Amino acid sequence: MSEALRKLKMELKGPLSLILLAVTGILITLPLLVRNPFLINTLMLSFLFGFAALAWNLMAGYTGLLSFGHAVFFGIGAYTTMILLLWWRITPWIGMLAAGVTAGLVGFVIGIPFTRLRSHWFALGTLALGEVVQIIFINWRAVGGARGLETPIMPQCLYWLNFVDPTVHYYVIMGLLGVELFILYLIVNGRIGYYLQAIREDETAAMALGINPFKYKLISITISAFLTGIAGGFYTARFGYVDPFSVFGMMYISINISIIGILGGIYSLIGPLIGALVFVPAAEYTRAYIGSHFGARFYGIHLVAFGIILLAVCFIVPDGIMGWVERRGYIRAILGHGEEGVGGGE
Amino acid sequence: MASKSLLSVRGLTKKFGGLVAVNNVSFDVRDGEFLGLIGPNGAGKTTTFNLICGFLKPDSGRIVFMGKDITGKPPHEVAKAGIGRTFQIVRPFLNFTVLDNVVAAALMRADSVGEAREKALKHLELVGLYDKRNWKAKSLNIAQRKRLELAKALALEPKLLLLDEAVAGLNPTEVDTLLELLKEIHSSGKTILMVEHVMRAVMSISQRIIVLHHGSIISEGTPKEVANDPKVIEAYLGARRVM
Repeated sequence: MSEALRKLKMELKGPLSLILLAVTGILITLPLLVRNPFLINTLMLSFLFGFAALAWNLMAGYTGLLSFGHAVFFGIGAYTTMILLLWWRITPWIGMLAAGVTAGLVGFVIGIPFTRLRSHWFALGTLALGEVVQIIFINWRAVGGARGLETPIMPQCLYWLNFVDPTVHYYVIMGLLGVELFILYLIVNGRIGYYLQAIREDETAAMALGINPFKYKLISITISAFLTGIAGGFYTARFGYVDPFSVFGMMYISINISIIGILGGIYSLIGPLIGALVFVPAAEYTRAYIGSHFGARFYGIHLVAFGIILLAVCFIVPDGIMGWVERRGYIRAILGHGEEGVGGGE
Repeated sequence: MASKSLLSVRGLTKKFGGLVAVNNVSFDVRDGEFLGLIGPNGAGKTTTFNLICGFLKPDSGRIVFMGKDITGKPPHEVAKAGIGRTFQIVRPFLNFTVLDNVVAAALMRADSVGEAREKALKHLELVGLYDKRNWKAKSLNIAQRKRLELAKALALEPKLLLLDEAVAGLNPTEVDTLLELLKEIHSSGKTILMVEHVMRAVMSISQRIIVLHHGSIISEGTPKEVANDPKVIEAYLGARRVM
C-alpha cells in the first residue's frame, strides 16, 4: 500500500496533477456555469455508469474474469438501499454503504463456485446467473415482484438525498467516484493488483509463484461486487424507484457496463470512466436529438444511430479508447514517462 | 559431498487411463547437489516433475520436502514450502514488463511491493536482464524468456530449484551461456533438480543423474556411470553414444 501511495505522489508531482486539477475544477464549476439540467443529468449518469464499469473492470480487465452479470450486484445494491429506506426509514447515505456490503457478501458467496470456472465458461456462468436472479426478483412478492418498489414521499434535503434537480446527485456521485478511483489505484498497484493481473495473464504460471488463484479471484469478485452495489444504491437514491427489469436488466445494466468498460479500454484504470463519458452522452444525445426528431416516423432510429457509432468505435479503436491513447504514446508524452524505453518489436 | 536429503520421493505412481506414466519411482535430492533427471521421450520426466510441484496428484506414493509431507498439495503451497520451478514451455506474463514479472514472484517472500522490486532487480541483474527490465515480456526472444523464467523461480527464494528443460529450444551458444549461469546459481548454494532432454547440457553440469524409462528408474549414478550403462544405451534406441 505504502508503495502505491508513493507511486501516486510521484505521479501527482508531474503534469498529471495539473490535468487532474483542471478537469476536476471544470467539473465542479460546470453546474454553476451552465444552467443545463440535461447536460448535468447526462454527466451524472455517465459518472454512475463509470463508477460501476470501474468496479466491473477490476474483474474483467485486471483479473480476466469477464462478467455479463453485474446487474446482480447492481440490483442487489439498489434493492438494499430501497428496502432500508422503505421499511426502516434509513437514510440512503447509510443505505449505499449497506448496498455495498450486501452486494459484496453476495459476490463472496457466488464467487466461491465461480472461481472454479475459467474464461468463456465464467462469462457464460455470469450471464446465466443474471437471468436467474432477475427472475427470482420478478417473482418475489415481498420485495414488490415485477412492479418493484418506490421510495416513500420525502422532503427534498441532503439527509434523504432527495432532489428533483440533478446537481446534488452530480456532486455526490463525483465524490464517490473520486474515492473509488483512489481505492482502486491502491489495490491495482499493490500486492493484490500484481496477483490479479498475474492470474489474468496465466493462471497456471501464477500458481507456480505461490499465488492462490481461488483466493485472489474471490477477493477481486468481492471488491467488484461491493463497489457495484454502491452504484446500485446510488441509483435508488437518484431515481427513487426500482424494479427487476431496470436494476437487474441484462441489457440496461450488465451489457451496458461491459460495453462501457470495453469501449474505454480494460487494461487501464480510468479506461472505463472515459468509456462512460463517451458512451452515456452519445446514447443520451442520440436519443434526445435523433429520437425526438425522427422517432415518430421510425421508432428506434436513435438506437440505429447509436449502434453505428458503437460499430465505428469497434473498428477504429479495437483496444478501447485508452488502449488507443496509450498506443499513440500520448500518455507517455503527457506524463513524461518517455525516458524508460519500452522494448522493441511487438 | 552433501548428504542430507532435501526432497525424498517414495513409491511415486501416476496412471493416465491404462498408461502408467510414473511407476513406483523413489529417489532423493540431496541438500546442495545438482541432480539431473533424464530419459527418452515419454519416459515420465515431466510427469514426475509435475507431481512434485503439485500440478498433478499422484495415485500413490509420498513426497517429503524438508521433513514435510507435500504429497498432493496444490502448486501455490508447494511454492511457499520452498520449491521454485520453471516451465518447459516458458510462461512469462506477456503484458507485464520484465521487472513486473519478477516482482510478482518476489512478492511471495517480501512484505511490500517496494521490497519485492528491490529483490527482483537483483535477480534480473544475476540473469542478465537488468537492462531490459522495462521491456514488455512479449518483446523478449526465447533465450531471454528462459532467463526471465529463471529469475522468477529464483525470486521465490526456493530451497530447491526445479528446472524443466531449461535449455530446450536454445542454440548451442545460448545453451553454453545458460549453463554457465546455472553453475553460478548452483555454486551460490542452491540445490537443483534438472529435467533435461539436451544430453550435452545435463551431462556437463549434473553431479548425479537418474534415468527414467517407461516410468521407472533404470539407472542412477554419476554422468559417466550412467553414460556407460548398457540399459541406458539401449533405452535411447539409435543413440549409440549418450554423450
